[in-house]
Amino acid sequence: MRPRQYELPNPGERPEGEVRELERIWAMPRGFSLVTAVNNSVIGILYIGTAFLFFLLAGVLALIMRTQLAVPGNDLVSQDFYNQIFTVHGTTMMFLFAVPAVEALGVMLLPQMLAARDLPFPRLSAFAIWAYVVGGLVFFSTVFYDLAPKGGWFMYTPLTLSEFSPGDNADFWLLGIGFIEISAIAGAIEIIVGTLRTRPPGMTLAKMPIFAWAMLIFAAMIMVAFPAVILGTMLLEIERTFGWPFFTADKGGDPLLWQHLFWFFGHPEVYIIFLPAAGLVSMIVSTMARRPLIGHRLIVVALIGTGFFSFGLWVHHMFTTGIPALSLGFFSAASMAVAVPSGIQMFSWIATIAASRGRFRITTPSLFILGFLFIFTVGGLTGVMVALVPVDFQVHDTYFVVAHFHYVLIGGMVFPLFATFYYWAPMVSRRPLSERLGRWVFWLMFIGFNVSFFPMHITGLRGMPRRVWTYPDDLGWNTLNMISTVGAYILAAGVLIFLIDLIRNFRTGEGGPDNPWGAGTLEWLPNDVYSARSIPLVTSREPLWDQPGLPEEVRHGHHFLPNAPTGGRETLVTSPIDARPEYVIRMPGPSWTQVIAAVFTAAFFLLLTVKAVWPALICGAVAIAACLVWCWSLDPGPGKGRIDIGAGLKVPTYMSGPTSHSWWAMVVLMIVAASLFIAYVFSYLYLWTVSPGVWPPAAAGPPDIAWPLAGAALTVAGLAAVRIAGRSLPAPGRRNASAPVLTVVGSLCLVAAIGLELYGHWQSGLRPAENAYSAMVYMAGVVNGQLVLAVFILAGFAAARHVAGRLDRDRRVSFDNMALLHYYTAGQFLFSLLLVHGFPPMVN
Amino acid sequence: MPDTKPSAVGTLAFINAGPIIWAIHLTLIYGGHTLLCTPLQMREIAGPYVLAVTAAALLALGAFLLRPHFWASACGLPPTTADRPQYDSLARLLATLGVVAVAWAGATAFFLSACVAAR
Repeated sequence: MRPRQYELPNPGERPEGEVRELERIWAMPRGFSLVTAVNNSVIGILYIGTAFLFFLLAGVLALIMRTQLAVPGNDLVSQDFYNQIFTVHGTTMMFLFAVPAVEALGVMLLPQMLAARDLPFPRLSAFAIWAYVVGGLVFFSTVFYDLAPKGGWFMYTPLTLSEFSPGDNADFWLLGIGFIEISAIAGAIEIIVGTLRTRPPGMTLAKMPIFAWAMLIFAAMIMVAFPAVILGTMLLEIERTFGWPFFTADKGGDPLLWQHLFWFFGHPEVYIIFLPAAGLVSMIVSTMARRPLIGHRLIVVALIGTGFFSFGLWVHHMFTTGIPALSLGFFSAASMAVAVPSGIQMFSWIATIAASRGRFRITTPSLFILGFLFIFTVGGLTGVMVALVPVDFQVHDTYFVVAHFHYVLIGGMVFPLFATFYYWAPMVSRRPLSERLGRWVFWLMFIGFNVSFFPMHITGLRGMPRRVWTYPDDLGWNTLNMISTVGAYILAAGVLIFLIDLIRNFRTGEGGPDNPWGAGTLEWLPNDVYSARSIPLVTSREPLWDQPGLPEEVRHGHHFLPNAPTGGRETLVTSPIDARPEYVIRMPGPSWTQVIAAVFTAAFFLLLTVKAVWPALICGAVAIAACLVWCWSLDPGPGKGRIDIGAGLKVPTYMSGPTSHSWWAMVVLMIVAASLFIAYVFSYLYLWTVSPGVWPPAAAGPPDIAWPLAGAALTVAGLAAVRIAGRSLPAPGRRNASAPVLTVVGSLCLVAAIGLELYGHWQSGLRPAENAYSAMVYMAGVVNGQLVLAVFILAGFAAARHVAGRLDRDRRVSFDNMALLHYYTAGQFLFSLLLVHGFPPMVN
Repeated sequence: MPDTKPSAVGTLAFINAGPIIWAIHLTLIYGGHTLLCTPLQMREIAGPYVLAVTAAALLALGAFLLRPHFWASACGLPPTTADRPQYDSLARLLATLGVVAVAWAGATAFFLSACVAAR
């Protein structure tokens, strides 16, 4: 064994009872109370289990579709039902399976991979998961009641406007999916802050595992991409409910605005799904090849490059919509350029396997990885084909495209996911999954997939359009469709055997082998309910390979934080780039609050869908109350002082200001809000380019300049009030009247400013349903208003904490969070005043 | 461990400089081309505009690639940390990828007329 190259942070024997104390603190609730658990291992399994359930349900819908299409002229299902099931199949696979599955893997694997006790906001993770479980199940169940949406997973306008899609079906998609996206954003905040702030000491950014890089980029992409479709769903739902004409051409709107917003999210979504899968592949390839990845740095470059380029591809879904040729050229070029980083990763994986010189182990995870390499490469090649504008003109909306994206998505995500199931099962299960059954699963899935989807390339080239319910028997599509259907059943047989394997072998709990594959990363350290016993000092990218005594050192508590000095749940926070210990987070434990908040938030959205406004509002109020109760116990203050974590380091147990994790989370949330606002500004300018004649309409004059000036003055006054409130926070143990009063007055100034702005437009005669311009003007009020509401609630919360003696100049995280959001909201509101009042005179 | 603490935002901005310049370039050429063609009706300058923005982006990327240490210091990266060569390398590789993507998109202006439909 090589000599150790570092000093142990806690070299001495640890006192008796430390481990029992950790077990007590991190114990999971039992029985019915298990739903209150926040441990990442429990909620991670619930998360991935629910995502897999949705995969199975959407797979059943796929089998119904394939059975319907097996022979021409079939009437197994009605046309209307077929429209519902292809919509729910795509929506479920993309929103309820793929993104949640990879977020689940982040929640489940990242804490162990980073040797953290848990991610920094465990209740937020639990909230996101329960919201997704409840919202997802209700959304999916619409297919049983003839209430499912019928507009395709992309819900194109004008088909989905109320004139052409009456009833509540489309609303279930808009509100249900919008809500689930909020859940995804909550998960992304957790992953970003967790990845950047809870790495073990020594694990600098450059030593971070590839999967953590992939998850960081994945979460950053969610932050930018999802707000665009959230805005889109808001616009469409508002048009359907109140008639504000964002997408109605004869009132100055444009149906293509929906496509821009949807695909600005929708194309990155493909990479949002693929990048974490690529991260998983990198981890598994390296372990199976028993050597570090070749081109580790290049893979990081490829992940970052792919993440960025994926935002420059959305127009390639719109090549046939009449956009000028030169603009198509920009996006065609970007669509081909993204193949460069994808190719870099492929060659790195192949080179790593080749460089192992025959030591690459052919196991079930390896088989799925090899299957992935083949299938994803085929999907990538057809992707380059459809990136060529003339080819896209020919194959647009045909089965060629169906074949292409299934090769990309199933190859790029489902096969790596199955590899993951087999590879990481020993980490959470007492028994590994069966290698013998696993091979059956792989071969049935691999053969079934290719038999099902390869013929679709030809079916598409022969002209079969997507989303058709049936087809005549004289077009030469019969045999190809029958082969695809047979393949789909073979694929399903593979998944069925996997289920049998799961039922036979998957048992959660302790007792599995510590590191069965001989991997080099930290998730294979000895683990218990509290994660690793001590948080290791990391000196390389594969610490278990390069620090051979590490598992025993960690098990015996010789590394950082081997105990629970504050007597509660805690983990170490390190600096974002060079991973130096900064402080210890005290984390909340099990609670009903996040479960109640999630259930009632879901109820709020779903009741709104069926226009039960008052019950919805009551549920919304309950959800907000539950969130406030949940947050009341956070921000514990600096009362525990500094603690010794090892290596002579004494770190604080409380942090406020820019170093604190809550500050980082609020900044991430502000970036999400900014992304949504940028999507709004794009929409405003886009509709102006389409309909400059209504910008503004001649009938309504602009409001008197006094209104926006008064709004701006109130906003500035609110900023000043919050600034002074921050400076007048009292010393610990004391209270004053000025700080809480100024905090609330500051937020009331914002409320009044928004009210004045809307009233000014109303009194000038402008009505939101009149045309696209007026709708966009009032939409600014909606976009700003939701933030103002959040600021108002946070200000009331901060004032209440002050009155209760829980907020002072040291214990001030609640105030800082409110103040940050207040400053951002004020800035956004002032910018929107400039846009709404300054732009029309400028262009006229 | 080193004494100088690297800036988190600065380090991320330095590493991602190439893709950020690419994103700005794509926004400017797509947005500018649309504005010049439709509302502003200045079709004759749309093609030269795209080429000018592309040249500017390539110059910015070139400046970054030629003097990475200057930009690293400007972004608050300490000069002597053990990981610094890796961050430099990541930034250079990503900037090179940015050059490829910017040149690829901008080159379309040589082959296609501005403001005309594709079919």
